[in-house]
Formats: sequence, C-alpha cells, structure tokens
Amino acid sequence: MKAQIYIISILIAAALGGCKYEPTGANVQPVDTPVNNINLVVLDTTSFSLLRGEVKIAVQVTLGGHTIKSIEGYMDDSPIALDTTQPGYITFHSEAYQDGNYTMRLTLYTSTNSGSLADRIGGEAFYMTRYYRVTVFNASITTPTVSGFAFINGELQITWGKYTQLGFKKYVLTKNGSPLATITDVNQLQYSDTNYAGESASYGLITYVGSLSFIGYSMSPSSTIYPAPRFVSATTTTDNKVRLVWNKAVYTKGFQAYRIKRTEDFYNYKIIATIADFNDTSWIDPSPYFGVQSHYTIGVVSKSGFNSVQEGNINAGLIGQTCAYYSTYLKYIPAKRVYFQNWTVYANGPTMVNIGYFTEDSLQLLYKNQFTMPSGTNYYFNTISDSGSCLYSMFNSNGTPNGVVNKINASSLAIEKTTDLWTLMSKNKWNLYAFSVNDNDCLAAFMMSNGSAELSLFDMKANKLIASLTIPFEYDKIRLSADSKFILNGTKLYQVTGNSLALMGDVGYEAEFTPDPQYVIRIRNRLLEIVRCSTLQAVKSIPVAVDAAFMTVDFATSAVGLSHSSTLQYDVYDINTLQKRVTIGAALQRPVYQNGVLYYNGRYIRIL
Amino acid sequence: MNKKFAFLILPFIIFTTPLPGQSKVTIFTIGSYNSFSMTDLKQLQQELLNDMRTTGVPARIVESYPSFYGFKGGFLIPVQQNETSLFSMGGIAEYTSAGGRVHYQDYSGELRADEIAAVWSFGGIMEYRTNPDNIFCVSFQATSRIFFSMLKYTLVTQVGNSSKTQEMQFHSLSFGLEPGIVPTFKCYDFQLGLSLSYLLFIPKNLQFDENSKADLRNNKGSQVTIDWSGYRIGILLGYSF
Repeated sequence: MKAQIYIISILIAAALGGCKYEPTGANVQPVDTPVNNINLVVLDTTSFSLLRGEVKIAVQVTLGGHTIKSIEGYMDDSPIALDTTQPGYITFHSEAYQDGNYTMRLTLYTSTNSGSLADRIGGEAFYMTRYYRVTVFNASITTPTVSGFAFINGELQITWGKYTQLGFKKYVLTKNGSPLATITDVNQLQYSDTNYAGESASYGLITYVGSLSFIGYSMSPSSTIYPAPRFVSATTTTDNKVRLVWNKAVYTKGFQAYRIKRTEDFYNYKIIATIADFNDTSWIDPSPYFGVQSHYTIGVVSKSGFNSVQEGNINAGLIGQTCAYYSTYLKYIPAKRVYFQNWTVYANGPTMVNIGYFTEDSLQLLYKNQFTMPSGTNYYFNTISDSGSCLYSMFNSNGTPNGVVNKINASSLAIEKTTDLWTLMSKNKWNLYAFSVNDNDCLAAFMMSNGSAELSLFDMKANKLIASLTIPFEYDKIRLSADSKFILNGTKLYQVTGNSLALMGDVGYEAEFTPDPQYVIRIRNRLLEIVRCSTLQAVKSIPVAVDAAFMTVDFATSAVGLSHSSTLQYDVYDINTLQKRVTIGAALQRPVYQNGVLYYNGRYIRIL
Repeated sequence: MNKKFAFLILPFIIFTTPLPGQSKVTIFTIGSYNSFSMTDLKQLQQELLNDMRTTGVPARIVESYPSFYGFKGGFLIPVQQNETSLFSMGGIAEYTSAGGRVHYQDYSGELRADEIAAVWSFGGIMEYRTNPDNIFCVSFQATSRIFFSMLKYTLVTQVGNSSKTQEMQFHSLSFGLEPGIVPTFKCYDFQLGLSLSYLLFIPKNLQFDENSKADLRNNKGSQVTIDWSGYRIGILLGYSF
C-alpha cells in the first residue's frame, strides 16, 4: 500500500510538473555583425609630445559611416577634460597637471549603427584607443646659450650650456643665423666647426623643447668670434729691420696664408708679406720705415676666401741706432772725420749752449764746449766751414739787435775772437739772423731791419766788408760757396763780383751748392736739377716723384738726399750723375743726410 | 474572506456526506488541455511590445497565453443512486499555468519579457451519471472552486556579457464555475473518460506581492485582471472502491 501511495505521489508530481508553463518562443533576428573601421590618429605627434599651456592637438578621426559618440582622454588613469568642439582638434590645457611624463590615452567612441539590440539601446559602440607618451611642461623655460669657444686641433670648438628641463628635443647650432648642426643628445655640449677659417662668425644655439623652439642666442660677445693670430714681438734688429714673431693661427683647416700688413699712419695699410707656411711664425720686415713707428697687423687668409676679420697687431720700435743727435745743426767734417753739432740745454737758470765734435761711426761725443747764453739774448746760431777750419757763433735777441759774431777755435772750441759786424759796415742796427762761412774765412751774413734785409759778405781774416746788398725780405737760410763767389739766400742766388753783390735769380728754397761751387743742385717742378750758377741753366735734370722735398747735400759721399713727406720715401741720388742710389721708407721732416748716414730724431741709419 | 470561504465549502461538505448503505467512492484525475481568455494580460503584453518598439527594438510577441496543460484530482462520493443514474458529490483541486513572451535577440544580446501565470484552485464537484452500471456512461459535472492565481513578470536584458533581470510577482484570489460532460468507460472498478468542460472565471485584478496596496495596471491606468476562463478537454482516470 505504501508503495502504491509512493507511486501515485510520483505520478502526481510529474503531472504537476508537466503543467508548469515555461515560455520557449524566440524572435532571433539575423543582424550582421558590424565592422569596426574607425580610427583616431594624432597627426602631429611631435607637437603632441610636449604639452604646454593650451595645446591644440591635431587629430584625424575616421568614422567609416559611424556616428561619433565621444572622445575620452586619460592622463595615466585620471580622466581629463578635452575640448573637442573644434573639428580636427582636441584642445588640452596643461596647467591642471604637474610637470612630468604621462601616458595619455585617447579613446574614440562611435555608434555601430548596426541596428542590433545593443546599438538601439546605446549599449554597443566601437572604440579606438591610442596611447601616447606626453610631457607636461608648464615651468618657465631657461634655454642655454653658447658659452665659449676653443680651438682644438685646429678646429673651432663651440661649447654651450646644458638644457636641464623637460621636453628636450634637440639643439640646433647656428652659424650666422643658418643651421650648422643638429644635436639630439642633450648631453652633447660641444661641436667642432671644421670649416671655420677665421671669418667673423656668430654662433647661436636654438634649443627645441618638444615641438616648440626657443631661440637662445647668447647676447654676450662670446657668441661672435674673431680669432686673431697673436703677435709675440716686433723687434728691431741691428741692421734696421723688424723681426715679427707671432703665434700660430688657431685654426688650420681652412688656412691658406698669413698676411702681414704695415702702416705708418694707422690709416693706409699695405700688404707687405704673405706667408703660406702655417708653421712659420716669424718674418723679418726688410724695409721698415725710418723715423716713424711701424704698426703691423697679421691676419689669415682662408682657403674659402675669407680674410680674418680680426687681425693681430703690434707696434714695432723705431729702427736706427740711437745717437747724440740734435737737430739744431749737424755737419760732417770730412777732413776731420768727425761731426760737428751744437745744441742748447734748457735748465733752471741761464740757457746753456753746447758745441762739440762727435764720432763719425756712431755719433758719440768726442769733445764739447759749453757757453752760457748772455743775459738779454735768446737766439743762438753758429756755422762751420766745410773743412772745419772756420767756426763762428752768435748770440742775439729779437728785441735788442746786434751784429756780433764770435770766431771759435776749431780745436779748443773756445771763443777766439769777437767781431761786431756793424763796425765793418756803413749801416748798423741791422739785426744779424744767420750767416755762413767757408774755409777762406769769409762770412756771408743775413741781417734784417724793419722788414728789409741786408745780405753782406765779410772777409773775416782781413776784418772788412767785401760786398753788401739790400734786398727784400727773404728767408734766413744762407749758404756761401766755397770760392766765395755765390751766396744762396732764401730762394735766391746772388753772385759776388769784386765789391759788388748782385742777384742772379730764383733757384728755389730747396737748393744747395754742390762740391763744385759753380753749381747748385735743386728740386723744383718735380725735377732734380744741377744748375750752373753763372747762367742759372740746368746742366742735368731728372724727374722726381714729388715737387717738394727736404734736401740734404752730402759732400762726403757726393750724394743728395731727398725726403718726401707725402710719399714716405727717402731717396739718395748721386750728386754728379743724379742716378738714384737707394730708396728707403721714411717719414721724416727735414732729416740730415751726412756721410752716408741719415739722421732723424736721435736715431740714425746708414743707407749708403 | 473567511465568510466567503465557508460559503464555498459548505455545499461540498453537505453533498459529500456518504449515504447510508453506499460504499463506492471514486477518486479520479483529469489531465486536461486548457485554453485561457487572459484578455487583459494579452493587452498588457501588447502594450509592452509597443513600448519596446518605441525604443527601436523590433521585438515580437512569440507566445501569448496559449492553451496549456492542467491537472485535476478529486474524489466523488455517491449521494443518491438508482438504476439509471447516480448523483455524487466530492472535492476537486486543479493546477494549471499559462504565459507569454515578448522577445528579441540578435548577436548583440537579448530582450525577453516573460509572464508566467499559475493557478491553484480548490472546490467542490457535483456529478450526475447516467446508466452508472453500464460499461459506458455519461457524467455531467459541475465544479465551483476558489482560484489562487500568481503572475510572475520577468524582464531580462542581456547585452554582450552584461545581463540585467527584473522580476515582479503578483497574486489574486477569485472564484470560478466549471460545468462539463464526461463520457466514461468502466471496467471493473476503473474508469476512463473524456472530460469536456468550460471554466467560467471571474476576472480579478492582480496585487503586487511586495505591496498589497499596489496592483497591476495598464498604460491607461486601468487594472489588469487575470482571466482563466476557457475550454478544457481532458482524459479522466478513475477508480472506485
């Protein structure tokens, strides 16, 4: 019975189970699975790599027929607000983030438009995610600048400071504004410009931070380089040359030659040497100017044609040997092989006048005598005859005229006799300004009074006046020929005939008697001429470069020296043939050429 | 509630009291195939479908309270018998269920709105049988029952790997009469019959299980009733002892 009840219970339970309704119907729609063909690309990842301030990120969105839902962004894991209202761009503001490196994730969401259930209820979307490493950099940027130059192995090495902030991309080293090198290693802080060859060059450094370029030109002078070869010395040699020594050029790659210039006036530079050997570091100037300091510059000529902008420079010393030279009066006495000079010493107390003999080789003082200039006088003059036998001096004053001359003993240089020329003349009160004596003890005197001049010739041995002539005002230059027949005064030549003195004519200021007293040599109208005194006709003539010159006749070497102030030359001509013997560079204002030696401002050079 | 229950059970107690001298009691089961009216629920299902389509989802009603199986069980006690008829009374219980589905599915997911209604009913049964001693006889039955209805509403939304399920359950208590005719073959004490009947159900609103003050209403705000009315056809198996 229990079994029957059990079976019945099971049957009832089964029947009840079969009566429990369970829906099984289905409405399955064959919707095609959509294809994800959307894409999101940041177009300029370069600019995207560094985010600073408001950054407009250019993006390209490919929807493929789908509808954009949103673009979401994350910095690391934090959502970020992106402004996508401007087509083609995502605008990002970096100020909300601390400086540093981030992974930015950009995800594009679009609908699938598939018509599926998920699509219809908004639960189905395509997405495209991109990951970018970005750097947020809001801090103010300090860019390095070119900090120094050095020459290493002949190449110009430029160094600069290191960029120490975020977002480094590259250095661009510029030369004169144009890119020279691109360096992507932030730690590389130097670059060698192998093409540098001394030209003026300004180097700048542009530091690119992300896509942003910050130009950091150094404003200090160090950004521009003018490397110059450096002179070490400019030494005058005993043979009156200048030895120049310099350091090697610091750049070798483009070296072509050293170029040396010289100037005497700091304006007109002339190239005087070109040295092609890089290893040469000295050169001797064979013809430095006499009488003036030479200024030298040295530069480098590059293979590329650049001339070094900055040149080394140096001033050489004066050439010539120093000597006891005084410009008042210097005359060589061939018979005695000595020089005669006078000079004045101004000191506390009365003015002292010295006369003395000097050696012919180096103008060293042999013997002198000293006079005290008498009170009330302020003018001293003396002259010595060609052989040195007759020597006269005078002290005078512009305010108190007199005509006194002193004959000096040629050996002792003591006053031997005093003569008042006024007593020998019919006229007096004519103030004696200059005189000239010859070996015959004749003395030609130049006197002036009230704008007129008196030219007189005295026989000092006989103590009498030979001839006299009143002439118009003239320069006080006066020369007496050795035979006492001609007198040069100022620009005029006078002839002595018996007791008369007559004007021969104008010969020019720069005129001197030749060793033959029948002739004078003169320079005038760009001609150097030998003129016969008796006729004033030129017997020989050569053209010269200049019209005016300072002329000195040297009887000892039968030469005449011409100093051209405009051409900076000193020319020596044979006084008989007028052939040029030598030319040297010189800047001289009335030098003295005696015995083959040129004297000027306490120095001399032998140029014969 | 108690008064209503007493009123319903009273005839059952009266008519099932065994008559003196009668000892044949019959127990029976009926496996039936039932149709259901469910007018409101079908209309509610249509509203749900419309709402879905408004959102763009091309869903369809794939099942809407179709005819379904039921199971009854009861007993009959002879009350009055003569040579040509037998009048019996007894008790009966029934369980049946029905439902509907609004559905959409594609590769991306599925939207499924299931309504499953089930009912237990208990009550009395009266039977008048002709020629009860013959092998074949015809029985006329009438039952009055109390119906305990339940409705479970399940909305499943599954998109991709994400799934969301919403469930609501309602219930109602109602009354129904079911007359029927049962041609029966007898073989010794066993009976085999074909039950043909019609349930006349009093539709009743559905109360929300979680809040007795809330009930199920359509978009117009009208109460939605459950209506089990419909034809039944079934197989009767009985045993008299």
